[in-house]
Amino acid sequence: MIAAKAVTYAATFGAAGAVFFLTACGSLLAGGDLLQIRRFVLCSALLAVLGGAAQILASAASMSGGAAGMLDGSLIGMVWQTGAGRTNGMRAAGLLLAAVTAWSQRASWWSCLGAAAAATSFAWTGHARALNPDVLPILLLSVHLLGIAFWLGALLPLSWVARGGDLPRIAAAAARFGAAAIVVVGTLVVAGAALLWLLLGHSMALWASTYGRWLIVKLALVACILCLAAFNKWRLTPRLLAGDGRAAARLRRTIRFELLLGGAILAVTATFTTVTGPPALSDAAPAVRDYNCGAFRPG
Amino acid sequence: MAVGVAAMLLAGPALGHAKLLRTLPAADAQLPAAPPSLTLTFNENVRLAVLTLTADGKTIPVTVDRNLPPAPQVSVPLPALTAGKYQVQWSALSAADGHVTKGTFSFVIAGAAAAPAASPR
Repeated sequence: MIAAKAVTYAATFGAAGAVFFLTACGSLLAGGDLLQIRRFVLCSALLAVLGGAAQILASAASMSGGAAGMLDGSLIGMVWQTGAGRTNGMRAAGLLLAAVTAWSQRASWWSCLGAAAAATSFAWTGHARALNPDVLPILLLSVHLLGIAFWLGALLPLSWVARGGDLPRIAAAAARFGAAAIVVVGTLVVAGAALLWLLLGHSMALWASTYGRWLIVKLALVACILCLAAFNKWRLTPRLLAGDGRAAARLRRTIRFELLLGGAILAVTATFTTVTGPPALSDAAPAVRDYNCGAFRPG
Repeated sequence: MAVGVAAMLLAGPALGHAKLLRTLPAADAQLPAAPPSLTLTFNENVRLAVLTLTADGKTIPVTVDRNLPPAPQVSVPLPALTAGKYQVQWSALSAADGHVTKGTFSFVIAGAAAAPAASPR
């Protein structure tokens, strides 16, 4: 179930992020890169839909205690009705719209809409939605997810562009992406921090709870990927703009590490959001479930 | 990355934050007579998906209505049970976050069988 969830995350963010990259940098790209990215959107969209289906089947199997649950229509129906149907439907519809309209130059807003719907579909079920009221957590999580899609989903397309020999094109694409990424990454970090505060309930839960300790692992990985992104932005991109051909090869290498770290972050997130729950929703803190935006609970 | 893969492989089934607060009969209870039903009380709305009752390795048929709306308390009528040790395995779906939660408990019937629970109207 966790593996299916991680694959669904990666494929959805990959497809959505590639669409965002096409919208932001498409005019700078060569025909070959455009074709490769559009094919990637199509394949990732399909993988994401299959991953979502696998999660539903895995949930049914988990409830029945064996693989036979995957063939039990009433169990699958229960999972579908309890949030999974809504999110998978929204994700599939968004990915279909994104994948189809990504092939048209004039449909970029439609493809972005589809990509945004797909990326934020994860906010419509899960722990954020279990908080009361849920509007703010869902909004924060949606912003966080959009940022993740924009950032992580652009890495593969950017690495393909960096593989080509056209240095001015590579530099322009990296610079344009980097300029947008400053705002996007900053926003996703702030949204993530705010959501973290709501889900933890109090600061000590970061150390004292299983959920919090998993979060520490995730945050450590996030810190590493932020360092790499900063290196790309402030060291490599200026060298690319200055015409340094070696910077393109260096960029491809750092993007590879970013992809590995990004994959690890998604895997860790899929794990702790499946095997544990946030302290704010636990029995030990029933009064915290209905959070108060104006109150901070120290200690 | 290795940590993430290992965690995914080693991690067990999903644990939703829906928690079982109490059961009737209580876990490990010693009952003088067979109970007419099993009642599970959770800390939030759930939908009971599977409930398996076994005794001496044999499964006793019970009916779980999967069409019931989410509720914090779910009851399952029982057939007439004889004296012995019974194990209950259950799984439920949290209505809040859609996660699966599951568990087991057992009880012992020391006395004679009670009348089966009346069917719901």
